[in-house]
Amino acid sequence: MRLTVFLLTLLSWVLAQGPSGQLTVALANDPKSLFMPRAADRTASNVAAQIYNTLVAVDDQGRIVPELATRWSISADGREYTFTLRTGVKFHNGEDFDARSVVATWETGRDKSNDYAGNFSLVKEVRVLNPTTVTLVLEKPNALFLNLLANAWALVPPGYIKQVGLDGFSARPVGTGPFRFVSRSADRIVLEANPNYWEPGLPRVQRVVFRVIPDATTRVAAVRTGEIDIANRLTPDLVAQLRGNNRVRIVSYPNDRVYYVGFKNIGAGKGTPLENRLVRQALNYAVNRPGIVQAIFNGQARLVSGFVLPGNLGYDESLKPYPYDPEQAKKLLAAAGFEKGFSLSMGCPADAYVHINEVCLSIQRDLARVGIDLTLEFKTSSAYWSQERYGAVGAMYVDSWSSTVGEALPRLQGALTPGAYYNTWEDAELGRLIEQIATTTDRTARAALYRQLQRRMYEDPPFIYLYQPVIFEAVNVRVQGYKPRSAEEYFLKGVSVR
Amino acid sequence: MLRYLVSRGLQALLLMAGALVLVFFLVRLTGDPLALMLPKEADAEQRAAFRAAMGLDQPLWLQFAQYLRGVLEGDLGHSLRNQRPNLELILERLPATLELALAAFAFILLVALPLGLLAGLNPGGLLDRLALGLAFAAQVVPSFWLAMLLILWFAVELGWFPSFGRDSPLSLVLPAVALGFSGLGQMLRLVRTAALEARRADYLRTARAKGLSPARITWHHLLPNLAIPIVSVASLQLTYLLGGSIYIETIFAWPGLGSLLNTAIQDADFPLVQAITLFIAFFVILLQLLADLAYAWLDPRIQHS
Repeated sequence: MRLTVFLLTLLSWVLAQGPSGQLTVALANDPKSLFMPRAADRTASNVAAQIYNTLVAVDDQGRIVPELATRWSISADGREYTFTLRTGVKFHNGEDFDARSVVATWETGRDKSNDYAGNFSLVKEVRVLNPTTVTLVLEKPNALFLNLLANAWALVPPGYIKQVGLDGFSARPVGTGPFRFVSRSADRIVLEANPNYWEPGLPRVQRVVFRVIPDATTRVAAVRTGEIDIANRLTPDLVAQLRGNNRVRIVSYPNDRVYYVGFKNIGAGKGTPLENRLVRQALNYAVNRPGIVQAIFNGQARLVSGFVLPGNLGYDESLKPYPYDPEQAKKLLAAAGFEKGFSLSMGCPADAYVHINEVCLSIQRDLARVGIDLTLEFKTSSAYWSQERYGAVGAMYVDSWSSTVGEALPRLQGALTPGAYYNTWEDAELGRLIEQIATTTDRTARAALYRQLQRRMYEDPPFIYLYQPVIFEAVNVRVQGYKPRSAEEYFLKGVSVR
Repeated sequence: MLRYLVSRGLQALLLMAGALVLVFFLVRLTGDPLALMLPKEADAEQRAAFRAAMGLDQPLWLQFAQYLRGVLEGDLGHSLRNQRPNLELILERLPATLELALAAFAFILLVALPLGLLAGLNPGGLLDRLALGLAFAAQVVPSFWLAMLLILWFAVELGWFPSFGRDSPLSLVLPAVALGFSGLGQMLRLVRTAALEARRADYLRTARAKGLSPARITWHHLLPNLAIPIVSVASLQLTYLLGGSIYIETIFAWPGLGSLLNTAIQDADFPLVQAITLFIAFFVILLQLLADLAYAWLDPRIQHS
């Protein structure tokens, strides 16, 4: 009893304290926009997300939990989602949150000028049943719709957005979130605690200042001097400088991203040995991936067995990454009729990812050992991704896909749906499985489909699966409660500073 | 003087026209901005809509004509990424870049003038050796490497200066030194050589013979004669400092034109790359014109040659 009273007193004391202190966060690049449908990179969405709320959220365990919707129901055909909205919530400018904001969010979100208009246009109608109940009607069932709502549908105030327009809103955004926008200049974005925030006891810091520091070495220096509290996108060698520093804590976690070598059976890949399954298996054996991880990433990356990663729904742990076995590769090549090897070219997005140039060179050297003469085509990222289906580069290319929803579906759809912009491997069976996963709302059934797909992608590989990177961040020891997620997502409302 | 002014003015205009054409076409060789401006998931329809909205579906000559008309009307276009007028972005960042360039230049003058003079007037002495050593170091040390060393020593280890940003007058010190250091060698050698030659010049011998004090000789006779080579090198150096600040601004997260250009290049925001490059080119051409005029004003013989 005494303990309960003590704990309750402690809790009420903590809640009564209110937000305090300033948290300074380094950004690797200048965010494009703070209007979520235009926040086209992780840096931008990490800043913007602090200003808004969504109808539902994803918790640390990957579960969908209520946010501005207190409960919801899904129609039997999976096309209608009806939400009951939280009452008493106000936007930072004083406007009330209600069903009209959901309509405004949908209408402004699908504006053609937005980068992510597609996240909103998949809803064909928003029906307002009363001020606190809305139904979103989808074109077709979508297994990840709630995740999409949690990630992308940041709710906006209809009155304000009508008054200032989308560009005006982008410059001075208003939401219901834990922090409100204060100012933005060439080198910083300032947010402050929303005094009327609806979640009790949150946020815990009074001010968040985002500073744009493009150079990773400078970000590390600024954490060491205490000018910055959180710095991300650090390389393993930079992190090594921080070991033993008692003012800085290193946070590392595997990123939900797969690096791979793509094959083509269209365009430049048509009529090449890559169309032979044995050749593609041989290439998976021929690349010394453990060596790449060890020598280039200092051991700080994980080998992968496919496009579905540990922690993703339906991950099949019985599939082990292809081992490095050049002899097996030679045998498979001989069996496929290519004992003398062959020549091909491979595109590489120069400097677009950490150490990617070295990775490309390693692959070239490894394949030479089994008789494959690879010509590397290095291109800058804008040239690399500017053409549909990697048309600018050869029959093979190096790339990566991430996912922010705890499932592999977005990268599967991006890379393997026949006809998709970046799809280079056309396989009707894979396409059918992906479509089934995308429209199956039952998680158990979806997990089974993922397992089926993984086995197929393992035995008849459309890629050489390379590795999953580990992300490093440096955090000042005065920061408490900071837990980034695998897609480098920041959640700052629960963070406090000593 | 008027003829000289007109001829230099015409040359400057011609250079500007050349810069305009070069910038427009070179920028278009760097790849398609769509790749970075749109998310990977964007479909063909979204891509086409974006292309049309940005005028990228027009023939190149028409894009150039529209661009030219804009420049003549003082409109440098809109940034794809920032969705704001380029000129507004440039003018917002210009003060920081000028501040850094001028501070770096002040650093060069503060070190090179006294040290170069003393070295040139006392050749072979300790200061002369120091000056020559420093001039050599300034020429071989890459500025980005020096920048990192300065951050490690003076910000991280000693804590004397901030490691990045433009928050206080102290923030200016490390980037100004890092940027100015590479220009130091040239200025130091120039001042030293000029002083060395001046030692033997008739006008100084006359001044000494008149019994003038060394301070008066330096201020009233030596320095005005050094002014001409210094002005010509100074204008070149300011040009270099404005252009060379891309790396330094990026390393120190200095919110100037250099870091804006760096971001614009990475994002293939080519209207902005084009606008900044053109702006810097025009600025530099004007600076050179002013330097030439100052040169002619300091030494009237120049305009007749």
